[in-house]
Amino acid sequence: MKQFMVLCAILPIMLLLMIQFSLDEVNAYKMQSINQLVYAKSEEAKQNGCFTSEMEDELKDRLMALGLDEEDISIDFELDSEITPDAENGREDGYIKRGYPIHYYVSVRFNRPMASVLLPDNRYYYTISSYMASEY
Amino acid sequence: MKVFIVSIGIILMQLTALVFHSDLTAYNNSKYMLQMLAEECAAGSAVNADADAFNEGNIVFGEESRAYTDELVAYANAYYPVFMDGTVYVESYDANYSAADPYVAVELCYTRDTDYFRLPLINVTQITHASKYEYLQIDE
Repeated sequence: MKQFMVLCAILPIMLLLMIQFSLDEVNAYKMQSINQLVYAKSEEAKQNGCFTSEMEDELKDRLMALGLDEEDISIDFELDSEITPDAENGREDGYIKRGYPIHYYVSVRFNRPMASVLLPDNRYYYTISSYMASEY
Repeated sequence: MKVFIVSIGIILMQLTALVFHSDLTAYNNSKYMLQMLAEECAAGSAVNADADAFNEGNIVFGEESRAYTDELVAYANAYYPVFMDGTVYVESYDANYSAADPYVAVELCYTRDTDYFRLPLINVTQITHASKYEYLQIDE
């Protein structure tokens, strides 16, 4: 009976720590993969002069393959169909001129950063938002 | 009672491992973002070579190249969530103008006041990464 009471006190804490360890591992892998995928896609966009909707769909497929839901992924690229000629900012019709910045924004929502059933706001947004120079 | 004390010991060890693991993940993430930033600074600087000189056949990295690096570092300091606790600065910027081997080499350093690792024996407050973009001659 005494052992049982000690077990009841210790078991939740130990389980929580072990689950948190694995959850940390999974989330770290996802964050690292997101970093690498977005960087690879941005290198492709540099050579192309802009992002295209095929690139956006490809990135979305790869992010979903990591185990993320479609509604958790938020991608905001300036697609080639949206680029209008603007000499001051170095934009031609459908691409961005060499040397001018291409912006990208990828935000992923992690639904479970902490192993807890009691926390109400157990969410974490991992955002990559930056720009790079076009090499078209 | 014995079981309880042993369990407390095990929980402390698990907590130490968990804290170190999450700190190391954050540190690795910061390193990767700084490396990406350094590569983009160097690439953007190399692409923004002086256009008039390029028309004459020379590759010259002038003010526009340096301005690109400075602007991107200022943008990162303001908008990157991973660099919010400290500052990124350009530690060294080397633009080589020679006709044989033109390159731009950028070294960025990120420093912060608080330690990355909450455990006592390790103390890391600074990350440095460098990148170099060069124009290679194609042998005909």
